[in-house]
Amino acid sequence: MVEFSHLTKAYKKRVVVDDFTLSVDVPIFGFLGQNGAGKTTIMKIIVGLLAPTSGTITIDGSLATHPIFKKKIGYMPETPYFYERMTGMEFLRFCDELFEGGGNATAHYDALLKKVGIYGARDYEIRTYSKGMRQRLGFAQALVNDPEYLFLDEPLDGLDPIGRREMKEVMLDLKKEGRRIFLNTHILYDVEEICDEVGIIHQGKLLYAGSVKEFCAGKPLEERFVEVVEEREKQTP
Amino acid sequence: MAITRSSQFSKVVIFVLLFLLVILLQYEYDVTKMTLPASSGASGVSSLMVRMADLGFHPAVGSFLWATTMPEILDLFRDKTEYLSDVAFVNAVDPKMSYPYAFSVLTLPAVPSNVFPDGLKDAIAIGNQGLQSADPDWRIAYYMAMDYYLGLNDKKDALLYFDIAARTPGVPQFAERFSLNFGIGSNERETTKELWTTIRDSTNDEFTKERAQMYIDHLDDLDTIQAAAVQYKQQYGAYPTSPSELVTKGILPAIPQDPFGFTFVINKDGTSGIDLTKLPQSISTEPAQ
Amino acid sequence: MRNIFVIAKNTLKLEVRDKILYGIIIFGLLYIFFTLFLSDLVLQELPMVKSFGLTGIFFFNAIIALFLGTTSFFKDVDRKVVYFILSKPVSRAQFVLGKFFGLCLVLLFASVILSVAYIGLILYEHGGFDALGLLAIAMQFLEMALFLAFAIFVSTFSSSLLSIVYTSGVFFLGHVVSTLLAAAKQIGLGGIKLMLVEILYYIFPNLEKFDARDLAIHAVAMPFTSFALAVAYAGVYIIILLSAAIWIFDKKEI
Repeated sequence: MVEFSHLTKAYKKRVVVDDFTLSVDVPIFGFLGQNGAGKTTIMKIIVGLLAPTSGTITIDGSLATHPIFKKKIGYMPETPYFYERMTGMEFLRFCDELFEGGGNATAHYDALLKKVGIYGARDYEIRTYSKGMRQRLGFAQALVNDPEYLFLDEPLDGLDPIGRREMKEVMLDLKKEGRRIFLNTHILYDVEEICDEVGIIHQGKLLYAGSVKEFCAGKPLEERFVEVVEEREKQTP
Repeated sequence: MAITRSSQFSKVVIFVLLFLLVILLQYEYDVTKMTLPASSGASGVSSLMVRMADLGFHPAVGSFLWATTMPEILDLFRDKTEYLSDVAFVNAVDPKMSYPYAFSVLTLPAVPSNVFPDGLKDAIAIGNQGLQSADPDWRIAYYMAMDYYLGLNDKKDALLYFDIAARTPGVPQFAERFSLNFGIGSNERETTKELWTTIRDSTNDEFTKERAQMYIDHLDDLDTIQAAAVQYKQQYGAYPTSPSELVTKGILPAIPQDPFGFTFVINKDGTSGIDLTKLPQSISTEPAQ
Repeated sequence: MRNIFVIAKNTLKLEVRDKILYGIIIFGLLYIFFTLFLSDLVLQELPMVKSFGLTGIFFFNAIIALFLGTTSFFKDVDRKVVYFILSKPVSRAQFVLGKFFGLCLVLLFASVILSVAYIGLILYEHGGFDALGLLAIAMQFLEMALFLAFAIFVSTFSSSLLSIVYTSGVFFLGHVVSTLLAAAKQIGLGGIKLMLVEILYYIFPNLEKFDARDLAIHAVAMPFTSFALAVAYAGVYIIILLSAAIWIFDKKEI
């Protein structure tokens, strides 16, 4: 279970995350919002890339800032950037070595690469990879330490329709294995398809959190989403 | 991950302490470090500028400047004296580099004196500077000795400088041998001995006294052998072929021990000399670098 | 702790694949080769050959250190590759230290190549093994490590271009500052002005102490105390710089 408690992130002039409070206890949770809503910031705070201005995040009872937490998670940044001159396999191995006590056999990495579908390109330099291949590699490195929790920022961005299908299958497999997935997206269709619950974020605030069906209440998701956002806009001075 | 004020404060304290340690180390270093000879004289400020600007490259800069200065010696023939100021500059940038000094001592006097009258004077001045500042280089004293003898007719100083050359580490065999035996020819031995005696008696320095005495003894030995050879001829009608015969025939009790370790010979005309084929142990067998 | 080693090893592996690095090393080797020609034509004297050789290694190592120090760390952060690294159980301190040691290893790699060429040159020219030259190169390496630490420190708050400016400036000042103090004393500067120069002298990294080239060229051995003090100085100053870098980087929003 992941709990956000009054999480706030403010820069000098803007508040990017505003008193964010939420409890999540489902296999796949989606953060849905427009670009710039604060989704990426929230995820960066969870994985420790940014420090919150105030508020806490607890995971299974302990604070997310505790170092032990990082061993249990996998993270995939939005638009992943790699060391271009490494091969896919080298990069994966490097990521694994950063978990003290890593150093798995090559078979482990082979399996991962096959799972995400870039096994054939594993010995080519990343600079030769297409956008889709980079996304897949990003996904693979998030899984390299066999994590309990996965935090994926726009994981399907840049994938072609078949790629999107494949990765969604992977996510559902991971759900079956008992892992928990948090994903950021602005694609409504994906939310409908695989998320158990959704959190609607707008301008750093949580507008709704809960089951997708309940949120939709019979209407198309897109319509409901626009409704909620516009209502919010009216309220803000 | 909020940083408390006390941990901020302790971090600042640690930084300050570390900087104090740096300052202490620097101070200690200055106190104990070896100093290389500082630049001297007229080109002081501009060579200082070069040392400042060259970021620690000064030996290379010195070498590079020397490479461009060396050919200017020829310009002296055309009455252009840039060479002098340039070589002074080179020596100020890297005082320990010996070659510029040696080269100057050797070549400056070679410029005709009607074109460049101060050649010898400048050569001697540069040479002395080199002896003081530069790495030990036998050539400086050796060429200076030549200049004194050939240029200034000053045999006394020639003897002194040849002695310096002979004692310089790295001096090659031929130079050491020549230096130690400068002026031992039978026709000039008396003058040489007189000069060394003057040197010995007029100095208060123990080392110079001892050195002079060695030369005097060396020359005395040669005289002794020569006189004995004459005696031998009177007795036996011909000069002996080697000094050992003087001993076997009882004219000398023993062959005198040469302070420099040379082996004495008797020439065909009865004069004494040293064996050029046998070099004493003390003479370095390695050629200079 | 092991993470530092992992990052260092990875930095070495990556930088060694960089073509620019090889370009600089090749220029360095060409320079040493050129010194060989120069020695036959003009230099002729062994001290002069040594001076050119050692200075060349110093110069090229400085270029490499400048290049590595101002780009490697900055690029990792600017291009967000660090997102992958810092989201794992790797502290920011471990990342900074890992980069530092990794870059030191790269510099060592380049140094060894150039040193072998230099020693070979001297062997060929003179037939002797220039042990003091190696000592001078070792001292140079210490200076370069300090240089790298400074470059990384500056990278935590400046772009690559500014870092190059600051780092070159410190390198220049570091060598000039002792001559500056001597000049100030020589021309009789007094009072506050002298004190300012003295403060500069003590606070700024004073790099002349790592110059064992002069000593090596004139075949003078370095006294042990000077050596020990220089090593200690480098060590403490590097600790200061890296600590400051970690402190700044810890607070950096990425």
